[in-house]
Parts: sequence; structure tokens; C-alpha cells
Amino acid sequence: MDSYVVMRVGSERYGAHVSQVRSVERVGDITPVPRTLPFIKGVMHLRGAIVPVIDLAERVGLRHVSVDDEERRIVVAELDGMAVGMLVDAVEDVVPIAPESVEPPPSVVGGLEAVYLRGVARLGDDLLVLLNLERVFSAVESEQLKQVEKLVYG
Amino acid sequence: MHEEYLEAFLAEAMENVERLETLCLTLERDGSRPDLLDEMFRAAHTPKGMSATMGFSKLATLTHRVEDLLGALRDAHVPVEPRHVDALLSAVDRMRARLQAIAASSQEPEETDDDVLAALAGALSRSEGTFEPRDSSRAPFANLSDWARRAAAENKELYTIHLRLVPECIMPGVRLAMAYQALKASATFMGAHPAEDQVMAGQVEATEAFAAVLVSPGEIARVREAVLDITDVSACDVSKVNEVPSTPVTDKPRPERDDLSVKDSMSRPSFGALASGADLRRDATLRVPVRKADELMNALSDLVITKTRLATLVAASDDPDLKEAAERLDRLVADIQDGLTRLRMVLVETVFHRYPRMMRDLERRLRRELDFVMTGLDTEMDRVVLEEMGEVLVHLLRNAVDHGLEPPEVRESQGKPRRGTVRLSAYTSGGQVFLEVSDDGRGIDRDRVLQTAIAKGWVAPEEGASMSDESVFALLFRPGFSTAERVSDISGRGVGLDAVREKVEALGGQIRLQSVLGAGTTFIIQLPLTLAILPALLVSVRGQVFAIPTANVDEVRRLTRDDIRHVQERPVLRDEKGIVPIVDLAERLALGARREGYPQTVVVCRDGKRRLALLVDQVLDELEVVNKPLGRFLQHVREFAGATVLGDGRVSLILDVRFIANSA
Repeated sequence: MDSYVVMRVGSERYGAHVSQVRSVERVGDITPVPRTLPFIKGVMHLRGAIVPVIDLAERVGLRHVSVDDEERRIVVAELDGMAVGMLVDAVEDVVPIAPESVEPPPSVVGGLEAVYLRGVARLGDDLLVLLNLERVFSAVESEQLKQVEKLVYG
Repeated sequence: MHEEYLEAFLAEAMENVERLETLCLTLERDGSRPDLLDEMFRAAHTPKGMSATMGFSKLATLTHRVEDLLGALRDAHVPVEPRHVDALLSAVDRMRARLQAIAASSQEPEETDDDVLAALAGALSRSEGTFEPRDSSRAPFANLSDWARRAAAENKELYTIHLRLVPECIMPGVRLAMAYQALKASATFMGAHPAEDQVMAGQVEATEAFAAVLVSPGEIARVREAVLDITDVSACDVSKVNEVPSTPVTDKPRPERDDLSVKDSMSRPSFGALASGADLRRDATLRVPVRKADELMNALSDLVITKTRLATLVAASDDPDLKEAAERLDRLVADIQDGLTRLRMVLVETVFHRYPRMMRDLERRLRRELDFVMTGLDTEMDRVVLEEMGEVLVHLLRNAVDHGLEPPEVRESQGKPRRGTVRLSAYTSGGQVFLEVSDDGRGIDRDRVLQTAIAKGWVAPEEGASMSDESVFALLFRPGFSTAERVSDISGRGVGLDAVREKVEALGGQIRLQSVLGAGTTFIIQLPLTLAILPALLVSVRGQVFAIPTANVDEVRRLTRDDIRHVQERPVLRDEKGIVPIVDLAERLALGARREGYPQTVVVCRDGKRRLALLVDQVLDELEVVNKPLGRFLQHVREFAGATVLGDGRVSLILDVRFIANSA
């Protein structure tokens, strides 16, 4: 059984593998970093380190306004030594999911391209979309790189 | 075997091997000198004895054969030839490889060193033909142990002295006689070789001699000074002789640590045995894993943040005791910070020492002739930065030999000296460390660089003419400059320079190059003295706080409308030193539109020679900030060199003035 952290973004639920989640934080001061991609909300100070924060809703292409700020959380994921915070509407649970119950992702889920998904699992009556965080993060990196190249080299 | 012994052994042996390598290169350059060969002997001897003790017999044998060759060179006074140095260097390489293998597995590798041993033996056998017969009376003091007992009985110390005269000494006999006189005057003279009466009778022409003296405890340094005062005496090595030979000796200078090799084992039995103990306690240094120092540094940066936070709170209070305590804390933190920063500093020599060897190999492989000159070896810089720079320098040095220097014939045909010069210099200036690699080679053709860039569409043809040399050469650092025409000389210089630039900039440094066609090229790397903590100016722009490293700040100015001029419709500031472009940070960072209304505040920044006036809303404060990296995720946001945590806990971004200046 694998364990996933269930994060709510709008009405959808996304799962991040616990082995990739370092901590869940309340939303504090986030310093905006100018000239970055729109869904990069900025950086925050987390126990001595500076951690970038991305808005998962914007990343997955959901346009919504969060209503309950009290419930908003930052899920700090760590991949390959790189920590990134993901701003979500709420963190609901940690659930065990058997690998064999994960189905391949449909081509488009909630605006998120299939490459960013590991699969879809049934969670009660609901669907849990399992994120492929490596892809989510690396895509952000390369997109940024492209933007910078354009800025610098025209 | 205890892990700690092994570590100590490896560290010490590696140090000696590296020393031996450096000395081999000196030997090749300067030729044979007795003191140099003695020094090499010492460097070989320690690892030999230690590896035998540790049970690494192959390493011990290898070192032993190195000593044999060194001994032959020293005693036979044969001129040093390249094949000797080649054999020695191949042995050095093998010793290093063995040590690395031992470090990896704690085991000595099984492979034999037959090839290297054969090379050493080959060099040795050809030397041996010219050997002078060995002076058997060189084992001078048969009754050393009697003397030692007498010394113990009289509560004195017995020393053997090995003194040498400069080879060009005109009247060696007279000098030796004078030395003996000096010994007699300041100590109890026990005996000498050559014998005292022979020397006094003028029958001796030797340039070295041995003597044994008894002195009161602590007196030997004075005796030695007296002997060294005599004209033409070049060395006076003293060794304490004890009845219990294992007692370590710590007198300076280091005792003659001669060999235990078969040839010499008869001659000076006391020396080797004494020396091995002395080696182990040469310097009182502490070896600390970098990781531990880094952890401490991390804790310190948080302490500095907390201190800054506390200072904010204290400023709002009017309790004098609290203020005083805060001030004291401030000083203490500064002291700790200073000390820890210095702990992390190492001499550039620790990395540079491997380059002479590399340059020698390059010289041969690429068929160049060159002198390699290093200066500023005692410059200190942050250990981590220096180690990261190691590879960068390798790249630039190779580049200088390969693409910079012309082949000797070409140089001659151009009226240049056959031998080129490659220089590696380190120096500090204004809180920054500079590393320079320069050559007197062909230089870089500005026009060809420009043509390549125009062909790639990076530069508009009409733009090229007005570009400064520096900005033209900066094109070489762009990714993809050289890929198209790898073969041509100028693009050859661009190979990998983008990686070099990336590495330097990742450490908060910058690199540029100057070149004069036909006269040579200089790469200049500028690095912060330390990465972690830097003084900075805090400014606010549309409510957001940014930090500008003070190292980049020239001055803060208030501008009126009259101070502003326009060049090609862009605002500039004119002062006595020239014209400075003005960049509105709000606009540049997309935080808002350009502000009208005067006066305005600008921070005049400097990046090398270039200046830039950053228009800000307000200058808030100047304080020390802890530079924390933004991390890989944001590494492409080049406007910022890092981030820091302010006294109130908020994060502030540190501006990368260089990048902003470059893209202004």
C-alpha cells in the first residue's frame, strides 16, 4: 500500500505521495518574486531555508477564488533535494492506496495534461488524481528557462 | 585497524605525495640542489615508513624505490634529466592512485607496480654509472650510544649535526674549521666527520660534514644559529639522539629524516628512527569535515537573523540594560562570525598546487613551450568557493595552452619568444577575491567573434561597430557560441565557457575577459570573499523590500529633474566619472510604472567598471544579511542572487546587480 496526502483544489482532489511530502504548513508571509511565471507565488522562509511556493490551482489551470483562507495550506514537497511549496485550498487526509487500484489517467483531467499525472484512484465516491510531481516541477523549471532565454537573448 | 589511524595516514601520506610532486617539478625546472633533494627525501620518507607500519607493503616498496633514485641523484651529483623526473612523476601518480584506492576500500589494491618500478630502476641504473664510490666513513659515529648515555648522566642532550656548505664555496676546509670552532665554543664537542684535526690541517675539501655535540637542554637552537652565521653554510640540520629511539623529537628545524633504505641504513642509524615520531606532530591543526563546518555556518546564519530580529525589538524599547545586552550580543555574534568565516578560509595554494603538474603534462601533450607562473599563493578564500573554482581554473588553463598559446615555431616566426607564459594569479581587493588566468598568446580576434555572433543572429550587423571590446568578448560566454565551428581557433576559445560562466555566477561571482589580438588574453574571475553573510543596503520598491550587496554600491543620491539627461531617449545620470544609465527598479521588476515627480532616490551601483543607477522608492537601512540560495527551482530568475530573512521574519530578495546591469 502506498500513502498519499489528499489535497483539495477547488472541488477536485489531488494526491501527492507521502514519500515526497516533507511537511504541511500554514500560509504565512510569501514574498513575491518578480519576473517569474504567474503561478509562482513567491518564496517563503521555512526553518532556515528559502522555499519557492507555487499555486497548484493556477498550475492545473483552475480559475477559482478560494473562499476559506483559514483552511489554505502549503504542502512542501521535496524532490531530488529540491523543496517546493504547493499552495492548496485544504489538506484533507492521508490515505492508503493499493498500487493495483491506480488506473492510467485519462488524457485531460481538470485542465492538467496527462504527463503531470501518475494515475487516477477511486476514493470512496470520488476520484483522486495522483500527481507526478517530478514532471510538474521539471516542467516549471524548463518553462522558466525558456522565458529567461527569451528575455536575455531576445 | 582503526578508521581514525587510516584517515590520519591517508591525509598525511597524500600531503607528502603532493609535496613530492611539487618538488619534482621544481627539480625539473631548477635542476639538482642538495637541499631540494633532501626535501624530496623527507617527502618520500614519511609515507614509506607509515605505509610499512600500516601494512601497505606495495606502497612501501614503491616509495622505497623512489628514495633509491633520489638518493642516487643526490649522492652521485648527476644532472637531473627529464627521464628521472618522468620516472619520479609516474611513481607519484601511482602512489596517489594507491592512496585513493586505499581510501575507497581500506585495502591495498592487488595489482603490482612492476611498470613503475621498472621505470624507476631504469632511471636509476643509468644514473649509477656515474656514481662516485660511496664514502664508507660516512657512518661516522660508532660510539653514539656511549655519548648518549653520557648525555643522560650529565643531564644534557646529544645532538648530531649535519652541516652543508654551498656548492660554490671557495675554501670549504676553512669554513668547516670555522663551523667546528663555533660548535666547540657553544657546546661540548664530541666528534666530527671529517675529523677535526684533518679539517684543521687543511686536508679536507668536503662541502658537508657531520658532528656530534652535547648541549644543555634547550640550547641547541642557539648552537645551530651560531653555525648558520658562518659564511657559506647553507644548511645545518640537527637531530636529537636519545637512548630510547622512539621518543619523538619536536625541535625545529625538523631533524634530518633520512632514509631507512638498504644503502644508507648503515650510515646514520639514529636519524630515521627518530624522525618517524616527529612527523606525526608537525603542526597542531584540526581536521574537520566540511559538513560539520557547514552545519555550524548554518546555525550561525540563523543566529545572525535572530540577532537582527532582536535588534528591531530592542530599538523600540527604552530599557538601557536591554540595549546594552543587545549591543554586547551584537559584538559577540560578529566575533563568532568573523572567526568562523576565517576557519572556512584556505590558501588558494591548496588547490593551485596541482596545476604546475597539469601544465607540464599539457605542455608536452599539446607540443607547446611555456613557463607557468603562479602568484598570490597565500591569498585566502572560502574553501567551498575555492574548491568549486578548481575545475573552472583547469578549464581556463587548458584553454590558455590549447587555444591561447601558439606553437613555438609560430611564435618564433612572429618575433615572439618561443616559450609562452601562462600566468595564474590570485589577489583580494575590496572584499572580493580575484583569480586571473592570462597568456601571452595569439589573443582573440574581435571581428571574428562579432562575425560569428552576427551569423547566429545574436547581434544586428549595424549594432556591432558600436559595441565595446568587452561586450564583444562577453559573447564568447554565451551557450552555443562555439558549437557551429568548433575547429576554428576563436570559437575554440568559446568551448565550455558558458559552463564556466554558469559556475562562477552560481557562486555569486562574475567572469570577464580582456584580449589584445596577437598579444594575449586574460580571464578575470571576481568572487565574493565569503558566500554566506554579506553587508547589504535595504531598499523599498513599491512596498517590496530588496537587498543590494554593499560591495556593489557606490553611493546613494537624490536626483532632481535637472540631474537627468537622455541618451538615445534613455535616462542617464552624469557625474564627474562619466555617464551612468538609470534603471527604474519598479519598471525593471515589473512592479509598476515609472515614477514621475522629483526628487528621486537612486543607488549608484558598480559592476566591475560598469556603473548603473537603480531608481528606488526609498533606502531603508544597511545591515548584514545572510545570503540563502533561491534554489534550483528559481535559478533561472537571474535578477536575484539569493534571498535573506529580515528582522521581522519576512523574506527579502537580494538583487543581482551584474545581471541587471548586463540586461539594462
